[in-house]
Amino acid sequence: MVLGSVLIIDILVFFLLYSILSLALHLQFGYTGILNVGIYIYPMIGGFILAIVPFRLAMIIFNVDPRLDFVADNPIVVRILNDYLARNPLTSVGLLLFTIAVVIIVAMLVSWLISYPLLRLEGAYQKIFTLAVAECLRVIGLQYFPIAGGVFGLGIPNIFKWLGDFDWVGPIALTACIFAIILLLIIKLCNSPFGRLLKAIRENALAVESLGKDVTKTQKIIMVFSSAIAALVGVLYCLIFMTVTPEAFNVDDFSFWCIAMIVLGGTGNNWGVLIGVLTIIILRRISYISRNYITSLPFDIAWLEPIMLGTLILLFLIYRSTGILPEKPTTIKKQVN
Amino acid sequence: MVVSLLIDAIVLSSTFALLSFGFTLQFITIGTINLAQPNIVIFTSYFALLFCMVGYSPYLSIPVASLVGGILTLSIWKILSYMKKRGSDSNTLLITTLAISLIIYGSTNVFADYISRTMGTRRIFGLSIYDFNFLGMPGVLFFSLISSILFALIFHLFLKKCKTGIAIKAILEDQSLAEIHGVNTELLLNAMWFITGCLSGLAGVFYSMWFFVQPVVWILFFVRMISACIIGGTTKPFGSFFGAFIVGFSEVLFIIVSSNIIGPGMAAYRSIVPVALVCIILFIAPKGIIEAIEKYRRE
Repeated sequence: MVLGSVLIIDILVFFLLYSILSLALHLQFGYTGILNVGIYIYPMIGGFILAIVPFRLAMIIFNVDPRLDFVADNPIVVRILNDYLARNPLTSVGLLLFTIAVVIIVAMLVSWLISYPLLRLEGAYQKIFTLAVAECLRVIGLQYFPIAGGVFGLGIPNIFKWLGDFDWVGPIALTACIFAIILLLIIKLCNSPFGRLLKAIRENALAVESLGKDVTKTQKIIMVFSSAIAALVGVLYCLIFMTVTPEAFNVDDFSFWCIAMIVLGGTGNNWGVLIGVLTIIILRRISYISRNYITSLPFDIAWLEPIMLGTLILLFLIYRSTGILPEKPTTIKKQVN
Repeated sequence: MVVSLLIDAIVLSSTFALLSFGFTLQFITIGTINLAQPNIVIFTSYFALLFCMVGYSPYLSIPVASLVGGILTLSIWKILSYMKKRGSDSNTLLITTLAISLIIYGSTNVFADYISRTMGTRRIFGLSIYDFNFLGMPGVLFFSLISSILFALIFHLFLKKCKTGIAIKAILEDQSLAEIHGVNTELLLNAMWFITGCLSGLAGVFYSMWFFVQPVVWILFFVRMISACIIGGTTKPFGSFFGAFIVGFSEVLFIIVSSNIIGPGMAAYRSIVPVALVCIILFIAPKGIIEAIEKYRRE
């Protein structure tokens, strides 16, 4: 019974996190036709900012002994801050909102800056250049300990400590709220004239440009907007697991899996993406659980996961390129006088 | 230390010159990036380890590694050309290479696990102890450098002097036009992708003989490879060849300079150099250095 509940919560958490990230990526790839393989740079930025900003700020606010360092004395500082945060709900909420604001601003700024060298590249190189930049940031995160503890990572205090025994529910509820807001926002955006412009750019950018629309500017807007959403995933991920580990933000988990979810669910259909996310999350959980039972193989069964994923994507691309839920044709409501 | 770093630069540059050359040729013919190529390099490098484990020189693994690399790359080309014929766009083709890359990545890990459990090898390995010394330098230094230069020269002469080479040049310029002129594009493209795969196998063996290899390093391979291609020019095979040397030597220059100024820990940041270089080059010469040089000459 307990195991079942844990599994359901586990699936729910990953579903919410991956749905937000996949919807952000889908806005770029499914609607605008920009395949950003290096999207994982933004969750990484979110995670790093969470490690740098709120808790060091909390140390100043709560007058924690200045001789203590957040990284070097991490377990002690986390314990002290947890005590303070449990007694100060307003400060906790304030720190959380401030972090979210900083993350959104920084992600937008980085995305805008990256777009400059990116737009100088042509074709396929444009799609994978962010991957190179993301990997550089990961190398910095892994090697430079003051950011997030390097290869060992950092423990972070629970910003929802003030919820008492239900402190673990806080980050999940926050993720659910953000997911609902983003889903509504994206659906609204996709059904608007701007959404139709995005689809038109995806289909034929040249034709759209000939109609007087600024394709580059629109692409930039979408990249900046979706990068802010993606960065929030990094914050939520770290808040839920109460740790920031640069190693966790890798291309497989935060980029390739999302692409697979979109391809599987259906490109150009937000509901399809959610189905794709749920399907792959359940498949991954099954694979994860089966590791405990299948031990007789001469290799780690975990390595069958990328093989399975790759085969699944390939089969879908060949036999059902529209995904589980294909894209619906755009309909425009007639205006009645 | 400087000598070791120079060997480092030469082996790295030569290996990536072979890879980037093939990578650019693939890009020109299919119009997308083959994300699976770095994983093929790592997969084939395990054959060198296998040969060492059974008591042979890693150099003897070159034919096997090249053949495996060639067959894998040819299979990728077959899948991609099938997808292209069905009307798949560049995004779909890129995702296809990503899927294949995942399959090869998983297979490499399965292979690495299997041989480490049955033969007692390590998942992370370097084969420099199995190399021979010539004039006090490791053999791979000469082999990798000579191979890359020789290959570039042969390919250059092949494109200029040989009838088949001229046909390949025509394909690289305009595939459909070459087809109209009676060039057997199917056969030549098959051969070209097979050769680029062989180069990946060769690069895998050379790399493992100086550097440490493990399956996860594919991403660093990839970063260096695309940096070399962008620096040299994404549609210039010989440009990417020079780009690889620029990347390799810049990394070493960065280590020497930054270690003297800041400290020895800076070597860990070497993989940032190629991307920083790309950002700079894109502002000076958006189409790569070869194009910039050609433009300067014309003016």
